[in-house]
Amino acid sequence: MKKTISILSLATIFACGTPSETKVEIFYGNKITSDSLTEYPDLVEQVELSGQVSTKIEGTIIETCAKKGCWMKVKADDDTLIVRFKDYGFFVPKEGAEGKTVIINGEAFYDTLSVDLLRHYAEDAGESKEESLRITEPEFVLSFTADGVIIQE
Amino acid sequence: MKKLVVIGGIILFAACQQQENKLTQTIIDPNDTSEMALLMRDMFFQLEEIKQKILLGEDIAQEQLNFELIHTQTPTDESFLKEGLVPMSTAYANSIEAFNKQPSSKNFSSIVNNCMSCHTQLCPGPLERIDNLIIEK
Repeated sequence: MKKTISILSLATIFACGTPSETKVEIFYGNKITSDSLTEYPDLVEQVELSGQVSTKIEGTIIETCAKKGCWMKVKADDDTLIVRFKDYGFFVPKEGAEGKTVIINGEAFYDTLSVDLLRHYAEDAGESKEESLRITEPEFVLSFTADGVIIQE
Repeated sequence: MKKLVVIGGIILFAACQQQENKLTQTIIDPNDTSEMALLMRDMFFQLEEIKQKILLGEDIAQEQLNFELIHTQTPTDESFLKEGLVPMSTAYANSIEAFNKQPSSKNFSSIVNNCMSCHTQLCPGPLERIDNLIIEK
């Protein structure tokens, strides 16, 4: 009996080890889970096949809108995605999120960003009017409308 | 003996479950909100309520809207005070006045069109949200 209790106690200690660090997850918009993520190359393949897909991926925040926090640029593999938030319904921090791991849930699709919109984003990101006027070509990019975002601290 | 092992197993499982410490919180807007942004959010919610009444066929004859002039509100920063804001804000105020004189679906749509025109030119981010106010024909 005593032997069994001792074995179980030791098993508990070894199985669980020392307490892990507290993981802070901050949700923006809908509360989503961080599991069942789609690999980015699979996402690209799916969007190319069907035009638009509901999906959840992980990436790294490059920058967020410095004015309102109403969009962010996310690095996924070697690509940069423009992520906007569904119905302008929520926002992310205007600063301090760069380099953090982010999980985004929503709709991915190809979109043409007009010159006016690109200039607007440039000004949102802190560029001067003169700098933004250097943008003269629209961009065809993979875009993402997120309904829920997790930023991991 | 078997019972003890089962109980021990459950304790072991429960103990390990507690290992993963996760702190979570849900946020809609982590940033400071300007007077102008708050006004626009208030406008949206009031207009959304009227849209729902129109869609449900309810009487809107007594509906009245009362907003401050947009261009007199403090924006997030000076860059929001773009050329064209004052005339568009004035046109918006005129459309509100027309609605208050004669609350109707047509005058409601006129307000929404003003929102769309202004944001198309000055700040396209919220267009997707304003789009939800359009009454489909």
